[in-house]
Amino acid sequence: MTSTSTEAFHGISKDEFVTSFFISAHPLINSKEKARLLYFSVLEYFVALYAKKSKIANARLLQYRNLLVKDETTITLTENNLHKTIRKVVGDFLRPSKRERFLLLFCDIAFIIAKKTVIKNIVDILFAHLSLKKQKKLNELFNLLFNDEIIPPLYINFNSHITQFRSNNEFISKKEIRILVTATLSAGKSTFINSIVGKPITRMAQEACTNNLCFIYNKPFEDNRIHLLASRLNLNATYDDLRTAEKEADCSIASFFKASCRSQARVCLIDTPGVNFALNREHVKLTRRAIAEETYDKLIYILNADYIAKDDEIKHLNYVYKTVPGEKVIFVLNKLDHFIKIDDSILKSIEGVKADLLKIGFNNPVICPFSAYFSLLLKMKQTNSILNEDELDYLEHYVKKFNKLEYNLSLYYDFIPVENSYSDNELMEMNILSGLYGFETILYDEGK
Amino acid sequence: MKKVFIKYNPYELKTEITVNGKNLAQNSKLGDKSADGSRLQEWVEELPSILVDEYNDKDFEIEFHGTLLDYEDLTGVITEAKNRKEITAECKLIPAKETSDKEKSIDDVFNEIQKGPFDELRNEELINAFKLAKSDDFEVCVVATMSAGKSTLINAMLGQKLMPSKQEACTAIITRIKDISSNKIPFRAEVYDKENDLMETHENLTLSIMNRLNSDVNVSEIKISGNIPFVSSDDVSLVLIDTPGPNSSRDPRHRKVQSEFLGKSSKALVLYIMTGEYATDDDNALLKRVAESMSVSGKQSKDRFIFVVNKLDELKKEDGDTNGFLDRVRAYLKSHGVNNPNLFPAAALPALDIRMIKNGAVVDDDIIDETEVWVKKLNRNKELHFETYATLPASIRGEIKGQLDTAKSGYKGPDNENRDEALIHTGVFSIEAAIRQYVQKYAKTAKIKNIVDTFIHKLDELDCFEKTKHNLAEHQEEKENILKQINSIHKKMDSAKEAKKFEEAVDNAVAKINDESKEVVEEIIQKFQKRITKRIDDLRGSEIDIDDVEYEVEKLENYAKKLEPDFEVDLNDVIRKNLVDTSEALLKDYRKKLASLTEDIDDKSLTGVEIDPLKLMGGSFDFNFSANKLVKSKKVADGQEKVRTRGWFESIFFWPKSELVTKYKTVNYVDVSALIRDFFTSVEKNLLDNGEAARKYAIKQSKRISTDFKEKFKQLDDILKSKLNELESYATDQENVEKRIQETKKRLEWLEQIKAKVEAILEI
Repeated sequence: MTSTSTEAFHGISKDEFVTSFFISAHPLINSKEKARLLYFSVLEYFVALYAKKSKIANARLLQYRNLLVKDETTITLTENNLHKTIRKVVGDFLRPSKRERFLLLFCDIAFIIAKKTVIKNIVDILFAHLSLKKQKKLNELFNLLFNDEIIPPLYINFNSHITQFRSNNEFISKKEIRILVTATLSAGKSTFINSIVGKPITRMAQEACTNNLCFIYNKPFEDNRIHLLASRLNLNATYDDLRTAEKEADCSIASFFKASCRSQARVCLIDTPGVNFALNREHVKLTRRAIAEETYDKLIYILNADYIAKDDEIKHLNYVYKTVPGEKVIFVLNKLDHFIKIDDSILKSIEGVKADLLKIGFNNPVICPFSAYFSLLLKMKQTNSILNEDELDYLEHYVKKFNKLEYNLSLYYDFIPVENSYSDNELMEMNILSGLYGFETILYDEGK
Repeated sequence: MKKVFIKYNPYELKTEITVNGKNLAQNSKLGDKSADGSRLQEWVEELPSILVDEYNDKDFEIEFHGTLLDYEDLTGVITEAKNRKEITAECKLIPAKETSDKEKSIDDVFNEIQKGPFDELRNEELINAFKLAKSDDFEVCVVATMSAGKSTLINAMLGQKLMPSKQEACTAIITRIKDISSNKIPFRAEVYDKENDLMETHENLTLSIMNRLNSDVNVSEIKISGNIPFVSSDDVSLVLIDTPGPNSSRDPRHRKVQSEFLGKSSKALVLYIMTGEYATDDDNALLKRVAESMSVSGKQSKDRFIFVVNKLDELKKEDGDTNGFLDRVRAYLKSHGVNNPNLFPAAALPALDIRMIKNGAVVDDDIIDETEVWVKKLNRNKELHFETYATLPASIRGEIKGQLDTAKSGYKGPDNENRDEALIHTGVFSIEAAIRQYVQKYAKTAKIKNIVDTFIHKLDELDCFEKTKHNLAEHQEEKENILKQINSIHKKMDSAKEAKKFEEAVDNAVAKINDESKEVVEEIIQKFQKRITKRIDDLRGSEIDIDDVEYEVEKLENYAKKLEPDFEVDLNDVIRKNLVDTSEALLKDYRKKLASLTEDIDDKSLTGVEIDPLKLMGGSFDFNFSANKLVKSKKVADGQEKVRTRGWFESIFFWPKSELVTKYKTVNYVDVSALIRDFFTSVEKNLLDNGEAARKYAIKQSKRISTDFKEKFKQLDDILKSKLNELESYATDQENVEKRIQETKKRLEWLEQIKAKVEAILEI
């Protein structure tokens, strides 16, 4: 665990926290209630046996409960009924639909517990209830989870499980790119973070009230779950849950980031409070402390293109300049969607910001022109999120607008060829025009 | 149940109250509160509780005779009291003439006066005063938190892009936009530098010129005139004043201008534009000032501030509903001491764009597209129908609802694409209505009274003189007696002893006022000292990192700097009040002197003819010396308000930052209290010095005023003497008696009917 002191992990490892698991297509959801109850009871038994104290395992188990049995009372496995009950789940070899249930059970247990040594134990336990043939099959599946061999056709039904399991393991073996995000109020920090995640996980209105750090992790793949670790662990947090948690204390959120470039990077965004909030002088202290003490690879400084810096901004820029090595800092010039070509020029705006930054001392600053709101809408569209009428109108308007030369933000990312090769894919092309692609390429170091 | 009848005249500020047909008791608190000269809005909020107290009843039937707007303030208060279950009451309105048709009758009467038989009413001074009163500007000061869209809102109200809206944070000049016409004409501008010298003029002001001026460091003020569409220029000349943000001002005077508008003594309307994104340090200082002004009791001081919560069109679904959002804004304002703000949610940018398109301005394709998105969004989301959230009385809400219905019924196009409808939803209409309401309720009534006052006293004076002449001509038999009276007055006026007595009385009055000022100055100093100690208490006991010392010192400097204009304005208020009080005291003494001129004439009551110098001089006197006019005419004459010059104020001196930082370099952690003590020693000393300077300045000013006044009094004495001489000739001239009697009779008749007309203007 590479976590620094301020990150709150109440007995959960960060690796566990960022693991995805997609179970909504579980084969049992359409089964009879009795079968689901039986299956879940066995699952519950194994988790209790091997991971009773693991918060993450219990939280994952809760997701299975919500999916399969909701509030139903489960069967308690005792010495008397233990063997019989397990057999009922894993022993059926007549009906084709249940023939592979022991493998399913194993996969689900593996998902919940996730630790190789423990999973090995489970294999051994299950052996006691299985025929030799099944034992062999189980052993092979076990191996498949931990190697990267091609999945044989025999395990076609567990393709998704195995792939998920492998992706998770591969993901957590990666080094995390840590990115601290800072801005003065109303620079559009929340929308920026949402645009990187691809979901509206933070909201503008809350921005100023938040006096804590928020760590936002990406996950290996989309499982439509947002993990939230605040006062308690919630593996299926709603947007409302996130909002309430934000106000209370430092919190961690994990969600799949829909990236526009091919990034598979493991990322942690560190969201800091806006620095010029008058009601609470603690905000600036907290943010400064985070900038000085947190470990991070990059610092994203969001500037509002709508108006030029004032005292507060200069003060904060000076602090960043003094505290952070210049090569770590990336400036995002946000809200370019507000520009109107007859009044503003993006180039001039960039040059103006550059001049200001040079004055402060930044050497050759990286400035990324960006439209966070447009990017968010694009990502939501690409992930088939439901957009309301207003959002659809905005999206349509921005698509039209950013297709014009005056707003083409890709021009300011010199590694993007002027004639791009995506003209057949409208969304990808828009990713490029909106600055999203260029920015994320820089963010995830894909350009190198 | 008690029947309460209230008649309120908003021009004369006269209130009549009866309960069950009986007048209020002598010692009634209500009678006290609603005494002549006090505005309904100053006491109406206390009405329910006083009624309950004084009549030991909770059930009332209230009949109100007055204007609709005043009535709505009354019903608003009553409804609230009903909701709190303090009283049960029914209200009824007996309608009065509204302000709107007063203006014309004033002009008619004035024209008649000009054609009348009196040269005195045709003199230039009077005509000018009338014109000045008529052209009285009504100032609306626009203040905004950073990037809240101030220029956009002003542009939206103008219906065109005139104020530079990009880089608005950098606006460092004061722009005054005066409404002078109801016709579509180009805006004209005069540009002034810091020395208040005219730099350039423009006959057709455009955004690009404004952009250039805005980035020209020599420009300090731009005076624009043209048509502000939402008010009619013959009501009141509205002046929108765009002041620079507290931090971006180029000219230290500007900070003071803003501070003054926000100050307690200001009568200007303040549009406070904010977004829902809460405040930064800068906004905090601004709000503190606002809260202070609003705490002055009475509804008017609350009405004076309109809080526009702008950019609400940017609200996303996930930000919650508008009511919830506005509640948070209210809670936020409350935490700054601003209670019950008049909130107006708005979307200024869409409003501007819709209006520009409507006006046929050449707009960019992107704006047209974007406007289309906005129009649809505003029309289809009930949460964004901002006119329904505006703090306005029922009659105005009804008016806006009516406009909305008209916009909807006249529209035939595709669903949700009705621009006129969307324009109303932006909430800008409601803000404009609120400004008009304020003008109607406060500015216009005051103005009408002011105009009428310019000649009513003169008419009275003429009437008195004419009557005396008439009497003299008719009572030739009293000749001896009259000459005796005149002689006695002459003698007394020339008496050195009397002159000395007057001089002493004047000096005493001035001295007394100066003593009072001293106390007020001390109070102000204490208030600011308290603010500083509070700041120290907030930090006491905490230790800060050595790295943060520089930062803390910077913050303290900013804090102190922001106190400076407030402090100066408060002291200026004292100086101004001192000035007004002094002149009032001087006038009072002069009045006393005039009254005393006839004291020694013991047998005057025996005759039918009486010479009353006070009445004879009444008009000249109010006309020349009303304290308000004095301050105002100074302003006009000097252009730059010499009476309130910055001359005496010393800017706050700071410990050099480097020195402070070095001092603490040797330790790792710094005790903040010690740091602040060091820092504020100099600031506090400065407070005391400035307080002393203000006091001295005030004394100097009042000395100047009394010298001026004494000069003027001599002139008045001369006028009185010449009048007396004229009267003497009437008394002695035997030959033309009949002719004179006829002549004065005719003139008196004319005066009577004109006076009746003038008085009718103020009737409700």
